[in-house]
Amino acid sequence: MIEIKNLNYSIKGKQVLENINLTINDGEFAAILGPNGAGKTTLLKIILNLIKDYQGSILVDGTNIKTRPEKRIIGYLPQNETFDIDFPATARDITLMGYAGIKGLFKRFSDTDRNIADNCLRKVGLSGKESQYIGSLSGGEFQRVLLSRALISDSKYLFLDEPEASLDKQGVAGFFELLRQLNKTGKTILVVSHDINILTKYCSLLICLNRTLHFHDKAELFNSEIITNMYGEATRILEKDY
Amino acid sequence: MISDIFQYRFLTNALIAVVLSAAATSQLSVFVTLKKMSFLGEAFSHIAFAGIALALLIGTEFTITTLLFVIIVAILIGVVSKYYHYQETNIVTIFLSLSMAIGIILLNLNRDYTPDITSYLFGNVLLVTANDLLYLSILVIANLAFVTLFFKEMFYLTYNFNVATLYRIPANTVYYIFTILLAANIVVSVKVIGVILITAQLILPGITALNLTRNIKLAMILSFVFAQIGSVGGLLLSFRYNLPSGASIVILLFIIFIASLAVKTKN
Repeated sequence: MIEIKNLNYSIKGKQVLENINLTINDGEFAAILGPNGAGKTTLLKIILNLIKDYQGSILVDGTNIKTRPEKRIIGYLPQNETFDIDFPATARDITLMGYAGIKGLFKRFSDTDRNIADNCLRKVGLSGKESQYIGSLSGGEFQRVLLSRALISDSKYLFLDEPEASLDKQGVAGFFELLRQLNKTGKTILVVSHDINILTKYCSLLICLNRTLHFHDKAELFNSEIITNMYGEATRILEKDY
Repeated sequence: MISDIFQYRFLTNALIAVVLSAAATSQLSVFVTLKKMSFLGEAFSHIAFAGIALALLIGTEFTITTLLFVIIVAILIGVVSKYYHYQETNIVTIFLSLSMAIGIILLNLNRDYTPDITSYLFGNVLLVTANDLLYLSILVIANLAFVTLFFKEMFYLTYNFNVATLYRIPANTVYYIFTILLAANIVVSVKVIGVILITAQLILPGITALNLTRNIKLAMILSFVFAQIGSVGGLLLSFRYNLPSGASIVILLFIIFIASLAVKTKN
């Protein structure tokens, strides 16, 4: 369970997050939704302990992450990961990257580590592509490799920052279907996204953020009034055309 | 011709020096190429010029003085660009020009005997001393230890530095060690190949190897092989035809690179 208590965060005097109180239970498929600059990615980075100079507390399974940073929490898929198309890394190499920090300095990956990486790639539907160079993968396949990398730490939590950004409509649906399967196997998922349609379809918990929390409840209770409050103007939901 | 080399101590030293210098720089070459750090290599070599001028002026040991000078300037570049939020490349360019300017003034201030500065600009392998061979040997071992111990970290920070940091890979620490090692390689190899030409020795073996394979470990082995062929071959050509050694080495490395392009195009 992730508990956020009285969280406040400012950058150069500008309040980015204000008095956030939030609980994400185990097994939840939660989404953070909000306009650009609402503090979604910042909130995610605070939960991941990548930003530390905040006020308030973040408890993961009852442990304050500031005082006892938990190494195995890193099941993270960052936003818009760029790479050189000629970089000589295979899908397996990139998956193992998620384990490199845990493995530590001066230690090489073993055959067991490589088997675990291959197993993660199988889970995301990339069996047989382990030795394929990332430059030769499609956008959807590469996104799945990144998901595989997020899985290898064996964290019970999975954090994703706008995973739909580089995918077409079909790719987004397939990717969220995969996330749903992972959620069913017990992963607690927290995804940051702009796409209201896809989130209301797949997520069980919606967290609407625009500096402060505007909504934090079951996805089916979400309505247009909340959207208007959050975005600060009358908003019409359109099916997103990728 | 080979037997002639072993008849004279300074020629034997020259051969050992190019073998060691190529062995050292070729180990870093693949990562320098993949991380697109050729500009930093270029900058370090020009900053080394000011260090050389300083060592000549104050009469201290050349390698240590120059290395300290380059490391101090490298730290200054890092501090200024981070503290004042400048693009690192802009600050590197400023310090590169500044170092050349300082170097020229320091040489001008030197009223005593000034050795032929072209030896440092373009290399003169015949000036290599026993101390230089010792430093080069230490670098070969240090580079080998570095790429063996930090291969995993270097691979991932080269792929994407920020993402490596997110996954708690100690990218900053490893990158700083790599940068210092790079500076040391440039300074120590200056006598062999020269300030102006050292970047070519740092880049060409790696880029040539990566034209032939995408397996990074194999590329490192090929980089070593090409560096040796280019360096020993270049030195022998320079002896045979009475040419400058540094320039001969670079031209031979370039010819190997051009040949590798044919394979890359075919693939």
